[in-house]
Amino acid sequence: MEERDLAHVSKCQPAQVYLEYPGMRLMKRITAGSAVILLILSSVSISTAWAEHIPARILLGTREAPVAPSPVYDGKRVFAPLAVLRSLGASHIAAPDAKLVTVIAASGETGDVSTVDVGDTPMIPMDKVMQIVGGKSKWDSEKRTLTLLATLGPVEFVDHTLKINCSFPVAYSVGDWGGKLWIDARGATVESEAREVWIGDSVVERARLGQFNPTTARVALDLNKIAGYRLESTSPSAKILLRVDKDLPAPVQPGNEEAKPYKGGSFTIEQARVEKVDEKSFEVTLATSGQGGASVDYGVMPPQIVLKMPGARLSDDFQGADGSHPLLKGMRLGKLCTDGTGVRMELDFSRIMAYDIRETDSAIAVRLSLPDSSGGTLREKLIVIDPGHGGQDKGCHMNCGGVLEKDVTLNIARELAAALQKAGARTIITRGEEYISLAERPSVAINNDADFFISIHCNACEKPNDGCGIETYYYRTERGTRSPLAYAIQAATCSHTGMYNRGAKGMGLAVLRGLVETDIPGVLLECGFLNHNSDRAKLLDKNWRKKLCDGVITALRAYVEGSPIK
Amino acid sequence: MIAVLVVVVAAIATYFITGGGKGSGEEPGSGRAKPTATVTEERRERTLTVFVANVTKDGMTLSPVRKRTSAAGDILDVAVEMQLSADKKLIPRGTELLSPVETTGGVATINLSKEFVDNFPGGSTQEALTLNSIARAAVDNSGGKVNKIRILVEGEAVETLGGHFSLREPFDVKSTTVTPDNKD
Repeated sequence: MEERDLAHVSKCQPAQVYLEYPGMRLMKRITAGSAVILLILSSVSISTAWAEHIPARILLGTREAPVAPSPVYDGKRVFAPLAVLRSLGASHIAAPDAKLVTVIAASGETGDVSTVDVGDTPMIPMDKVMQIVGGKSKWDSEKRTLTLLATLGPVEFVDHTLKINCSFPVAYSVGDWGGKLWIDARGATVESEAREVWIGDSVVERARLGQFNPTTARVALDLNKIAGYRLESTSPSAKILLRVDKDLPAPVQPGNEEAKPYKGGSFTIEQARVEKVDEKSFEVTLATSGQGGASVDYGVMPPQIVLKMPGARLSDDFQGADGSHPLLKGMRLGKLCTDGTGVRMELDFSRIMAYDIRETDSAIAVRLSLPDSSGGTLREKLIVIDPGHGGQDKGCHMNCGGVLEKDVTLNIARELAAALQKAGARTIITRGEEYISLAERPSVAINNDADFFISIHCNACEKPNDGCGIETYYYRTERGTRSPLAYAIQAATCSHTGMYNRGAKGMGLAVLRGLVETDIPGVLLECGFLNHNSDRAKLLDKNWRKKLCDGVITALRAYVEGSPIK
Repeated sequence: MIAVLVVVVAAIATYFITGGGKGSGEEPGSGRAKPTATVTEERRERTLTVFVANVTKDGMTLSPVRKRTSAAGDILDVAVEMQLSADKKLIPRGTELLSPVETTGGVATINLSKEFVDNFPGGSTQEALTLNSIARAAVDNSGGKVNKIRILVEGEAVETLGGHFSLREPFDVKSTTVTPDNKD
């Protein structure tokens, strides 16, 4: 046996000859075994030591808790230095042996917590701390991060002040839009079962609580009238106080646009007032020190206009706006540009409004009124639908896969008419298969005393697939004001169909020119690009066309009845 | 007799020297009068403004481009010719100016070939900018003499180019300008 082994060794490794004697093999086994045991023991000891000191992070919502040295994770719990209590609005009293501390939360809750020495630093287990402080915690083992969220307790509105209590201090900000005020508490979660709190104040109707995103809770206030507001607590805080009062000026909003070269006149806004003209209209007047340029951004989702005055500044004595009107839900004045130059005025309405703007040496006046043919219900309205082209005029047909625009527009017009009739409205279609002139089309609306005129078209561009989406045109007048109907139809059809929004635009379209001297609102709706493959497929899809028709009906309802466009 | 011969020879010589009538702009067989320089026009370089398309996801706008040309002839003829070839995104393929631009009372009449209508792809913005580019080229290069244009096709008035704007009457730059708008 030994000879065989030696022979084998000599064959394979002629330069090395191993000699063994009895008992040697046993000794080798004992040595090897000891080495393995030692290795296992040492690795266990190393891993235990490492596990006790795994660095961890603590996030308050999304911001890092300012503690040093770093918190640690022991495989079950996260421990943090006592300094973490300050970030949680809590304090502590150390017991004489320093192995036990009493934690006092912002709410007044107290509890004893044992400390553990990590290196030279006494640390406290965060699960125990959170039981006393209140709130929610979530451990992410992959990122070794403990996220703490304060719980947002019930809200109350007392003495014109909204009071929000959080289990520990959170950063927050206030915003307003469309007759609503809100507070976003970052690093907070809503605990209260009551998600809607009726307030019934003359200014504040109700408060609504919700989770804006996983780490931000939002409290929104629905306002009954224009009001100013002021934060009476300093962020971060566990007690958020927001005073809302019609006698308070609305705070000046920070600018959000990049400043551009401006060559117009400079002026100061001394005063702003809202004056009722009648139930359907009112005027917002800015008293100015001189004439300067003002441009308007117009919107219907929500109904709003923004007046931009790059040459303006608010007077040092500016006191905010006086007056109100039931159709005006909110009014804000603020900076226009991020560099602090210019002034913007935002007006929020309860429904779609038309506007007209006049500028003089001493004032900028914006007249807001319910647009022509609005009011009542859609059931009372007569809508003339004009399918573009027809007869010998094929409309778009090049690179359109054999599809003719005149056929698509007639199809959509008929389906829209059917949908409107189903909604109770009356309709007239201007043409059948034949062509009628551009001048005759609006005449159909005028001769029938219609409430609306909608011309249906499909778009195209020189290069196939170069353009896509919906655009709505209105007749551009000398005064340059926007068409509420075009904006409503553009917003609602894009919202319903998900098509790319190319915007509402003004032009001198022949088919709409005939309506200029009338009070019949008219638009030309370009439903999509017939020489764009994807758009064309949609235009030929009955289900998609139904969405388009639903969008037009939603727009007409919003325009006529004042319902919101969603 | 000699005098008669001299007159005949002079007439023939004059015919050939002047190019056999080609200087009048007539193309044999085409029936189309091409605008060209008058014999007295001095050839010199001029800088004219033409318009090209800027295509964006939201639509199309026009940008002015200054171009130098040594083409002789009436400035409106040259400007319209240059505009017709300035950007194929704007002008339907094969479109030609068929006769010199005539200006009366601030209205320039521009007679285009049938390709202008036949090869038009369609679309409101496309139509607006096609018409707007020609109107602006005529107005901006006219030195204040033109404020509107009338477009004829093969010498005839037509109702429309693409079914959105009327060509029955003269139009100005403003009526075919697309108002840039904010989106809602």
